[in-house]
Parts: sequence; C-alpha cells; structure tokens
Amino acid sequence: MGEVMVITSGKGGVGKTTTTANIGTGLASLGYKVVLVDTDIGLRNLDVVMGLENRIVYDIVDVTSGQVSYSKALIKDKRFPDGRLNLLPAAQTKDKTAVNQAQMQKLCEDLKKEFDFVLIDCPAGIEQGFKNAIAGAEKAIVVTTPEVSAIRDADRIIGLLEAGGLRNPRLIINRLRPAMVKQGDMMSIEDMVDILAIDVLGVVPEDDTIVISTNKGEPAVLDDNSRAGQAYRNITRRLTGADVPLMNLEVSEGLFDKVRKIFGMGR
Amino acid sequence: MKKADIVIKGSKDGLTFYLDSQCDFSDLVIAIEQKLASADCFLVGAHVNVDVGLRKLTEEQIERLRILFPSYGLILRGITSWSDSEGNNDEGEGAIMKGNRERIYQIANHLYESSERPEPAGESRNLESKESIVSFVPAAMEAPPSSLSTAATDDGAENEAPIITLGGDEQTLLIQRTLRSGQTVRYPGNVVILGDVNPGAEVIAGGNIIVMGVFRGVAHAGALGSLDAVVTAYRLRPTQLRIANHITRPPDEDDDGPDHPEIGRIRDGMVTIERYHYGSKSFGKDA
Ligand SMILES: Nc1ncnc2c1ncn2[C@@H]1O[C@H](COP(=O)(O)OP(=O)(O)OP(=O)(O)O)[C@@H](O)[C@H]1O
Ligand SMILES: [Mg+2]
Repeated sequence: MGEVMVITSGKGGVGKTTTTANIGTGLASLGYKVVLVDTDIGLRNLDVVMGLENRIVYDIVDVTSGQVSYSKALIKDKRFPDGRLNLLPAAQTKDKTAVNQAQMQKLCEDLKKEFDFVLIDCPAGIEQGFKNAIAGAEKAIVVTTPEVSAIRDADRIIGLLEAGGLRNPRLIINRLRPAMVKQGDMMSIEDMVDILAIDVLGVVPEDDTIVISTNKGEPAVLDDNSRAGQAYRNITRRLTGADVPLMNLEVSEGLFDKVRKIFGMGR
Repeated sequence: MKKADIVIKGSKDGLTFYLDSQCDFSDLVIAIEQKLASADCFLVGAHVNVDVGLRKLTEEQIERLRILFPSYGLILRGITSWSDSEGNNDEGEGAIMKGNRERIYQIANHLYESSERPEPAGESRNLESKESIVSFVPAAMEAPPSSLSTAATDDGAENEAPIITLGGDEQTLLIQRTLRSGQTVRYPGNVVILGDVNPGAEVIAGGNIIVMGVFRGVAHAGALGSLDAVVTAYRLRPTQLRIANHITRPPDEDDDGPDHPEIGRIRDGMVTIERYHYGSKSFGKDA
C-alpha cells in the first residue's frame, strides 16, 4: 500500500507544482513507483513542468467520471523506461466542479494499491479544488515562501488540514535567499517555525535553475549542479525516512542547531 | 415589576437563550433586543436555541422570536418549551434539561473537527465566512441534580460537586491547541487557551480571555458589554484588542513587545496593557 500525499499552500504561485514535480521525480530516481495527480482543473501546469504536455489524451475528469480506467489516462515519464513515474493530468477545459470529494477518495484508494507514492498537486485557494485535493490524502506537505502573506495562508491551510483530519503536515520553505535573511530583510526559518509550529521538511533556495528547468520540462532534481535540485534531493530522501541534515546554504550557522531540533535529530 | 431575566449559555449546537418564564412576553422581547444590541457583532452567525422554560407561547409569539433573532444576524435553530408534555425539543438533545442550573463545560479541543457543515452550493462568499467560524461551543453536561444530596454517588459526581458549588454562574471554555488563521472562537463565558493564537485568528468571549501562549490574533473580551473583562497572555502581541465596546491596536512602530506576561483591561475608560503581576489584584473583577 502506497502513501497519498497532498502538496498544498493556500497562497498561489509559491511552488506547489514545482515541488510536486521535483519530489515525484526524485522519488522515482530512488526507485519508487510514483504517480503525480494534478488537481488544478482549468489551470493545469504539472504536465508542462514535467515536459509531458504533448502526450495528454485523457485527464482526471475522464477517470473520475468513469469514462476510462486510470491506467489508460496515466502518462508514463519517458525518463524512466520501466514506467515507474506517472502523471495523471488535470482537465483543462472542464469545469472545476466536474470532480467531487468522494470521487477523489476512490481514485486515491485505487492508485495507492499500485504505487508507492501518490502525490497530489493542489490548486491555490481553499475552495472546492482544495477540498478535492485533500479528500483522499493521508499526509500533507505545506509549501510557503518567506513572506508574511504566504505564512498567513499556510497557517490557515494547516488549520483546515487539521480540521480535515490531516494532522502533522510538514513544511517546505521555498525561494529562501540566505543573503537577505542575513541582512534581516527576509523572514528567517526560525521566524516561520515560530508561528507555524510544524516540522520543516526542507528549505529550497531561490534558484534560476528552477526557471530554466521548468521551461525545459526537466525537473531540477535531476540536475546535479542545481542547488534547488540538491534541496529537493534532500527532501526526497527525508520523505523516505533518511536523516538528512539541512544544507548549509539553507540555513545560517546559528539556526542550524534549532533546525536540527525541529527534525528531532539532536538526540 | 421584575426585570426580564435572560441567561445565555453554550451548548453542543450553539448558544441557548434561557428566557424568564414569569415576566411579560413584551418585556422579554425588549430584554432580548437589548442583549443582542449590546452584543455588537459578537453573536452574528451563531446558532441559537431558545428555551422559554415553562412559558406557553402563542403562534404570534413564536413568530416574533423567529423574526427577532435573524434580524440581529443569528440563526434560530429551535425553540424549546417545557409547558406541556409533548414539548418541541426537536433536536432530541438529551443534554437539554429543565431549568437554569449551572452547567459544567467539557474540555472542547476536539470540537473544531466538526466544523464542516454542509454548505449550499453557489454561495461562495457566504460559504467562506461561515466556514471560517469554527464551531466551538461545547456540549453541556448537566450536573447530576442529586449528586450533592444523595449518598450513593459515583466518583465522577463527587469530583464535580466542589466545582459546582464554587462555579456559580461562571462558564469557561478550555482550548488545548493553537488557533490558526481563519479560526474563530466565540463563547459567552471565559476562554482559556493552552496554545498560541496566530495572526488572523479571533477569540471573542463574553468574559475574560486567558492565553498560555503567544497571542497574535484579534481578542475581544467582554463582548457582551462587560467593562471589567480582561485579556491576559503569556506574550500579548495582539493584532487588535477589544474589550467591551473599546477597540485598540498596538502602536505602529513595531517592536516585539516585552518578554513577560501582560494583562489588558479598561482603566479610566481606556484599554491599557500592563505587566501581569502574580499575586496582585490585577486579575479580573477586583471591584
Ligand atoms: N526555488 C525557486 N527559485 C526560483 N523560482 C521558483 C522557485 N520555486 C518556484 N519558482 C517559480 O515560481 C513560479 C510558481 O511556481 P509554481 O507554479 O510551482 O507554483 P504553484 O504554487 O504551483 O502555483 P499555482 O498556485 O499557480 O498552482 C514558477 O514560475 C516557478 O518557476
Ligand atoms: Mg500549481
């Protein structure tokens, strides 16, 4: 039985899709069978970031409405010839209400029988799309950027996740700029953890290679020279239970101990 | 003539208004209106049950109540009358008992989970505002009426007895978790929070608010008009602090505030925030 994990944020544009693509690809590189589910109906993106757009035939609505089986709709990522990385794309032209929570639960139940990880890319906001995305999930990853508004939305989302039965979500801080933190111009990890009070799964630095890799449809996690890619590789390994300390560029020295504590590794 | 007496209590399904069953109905209506008006925005959106005691209501009187509550933004869930054997306790709520006895309120940290209510489709604005009001009012536990006089009581009842005698009319809600952005607690009595209150969260209490953590949200103590209500927190950094009908916010030049517990209350007609001193009479009604 696999694990169903939703990647969510509240605020838009903080890096949910980027994170889903990179974690999914990272897990596949470690040998796991992975399926990525794009639930951002009407604003699908994950296929583009994965470089799989031109191979879409069926989408999530075709599956949840019972028109085709999920295996028919899944797109196999060509980078893994044994087909262990798959994408279920969102519908682009259909209405957001075309999927409901019960259908999502059923879909997740089915997918986790076949895959080790079912990663759900959640749309921004807290409406129907969000509710659908979390309906079948067992674990949650909350993505935020070091901005007050993103933190506020993350806090709101954590509350809603808890209300929806998803306890102990884990946090990914994206687009951190260590230099700005040092100058006191950006919220530090410490500040964010202070308010959100949840475990940090990882910190991804602001990095142009993300933009380049997004445009190429080649997740940065596969690029050995990308710092953000390294951060996602670390996150991937933490997800599989490994103790990986935060990268040096992710934290300033003084915070290192504090973050170790958050991971519970100091013992 | 006796003034109409209204008691508001929390119960599992929202607030219950216990109405005096002796006075004139018209006095009752006036008293309710005063109460609702003084409550300001505190009760808006709350679910309300009305318990009229032994009074027998006429059709018009029922109709009057049906209009009265919604006109102040409250949602009337049911009217309970004990005047005849049928009653119309349609909620089938075993917890609704006769009379105005003190009630002990359960520790209610699990009640947030039941916040999802079925929403009518299409009203997305409405939906959002309702969803953010987390249902918090705890189930009322009737004090066993005979526990004080009967010898054959079990341990539980014995433990409760001293609380009842001490408790008087006070009601307190204990919340053992952090309130996050978008979560609201409304309670007619005191609210105690073992956790933080984050920015974007709101605590509205008829009585005092005590936070054993960092308070960063909006606090409204004495929301039913009580000027001697206080807000205390381990670290008091509210976005906004309201007591009764007074509203304040911290100064704009934003330092982090002192590293000690503080208390906010009305003094000489102004909300003041001071260091909380253990053992002083700084807490609550020190009249
Ligand atoms: N670490 C990073 N460094 C630089 N750019 C980044 C980083 N992470 C994300 N971006 C850029 O930010 C933009 C938004 O990212 P993404 O689409 O993943 O966000 P999202 O949360 O899925 O957005 P939406 O809410 O619209 O679904 C993209 O252009 C992406 O390339
Ligand atoms: Mg996205």
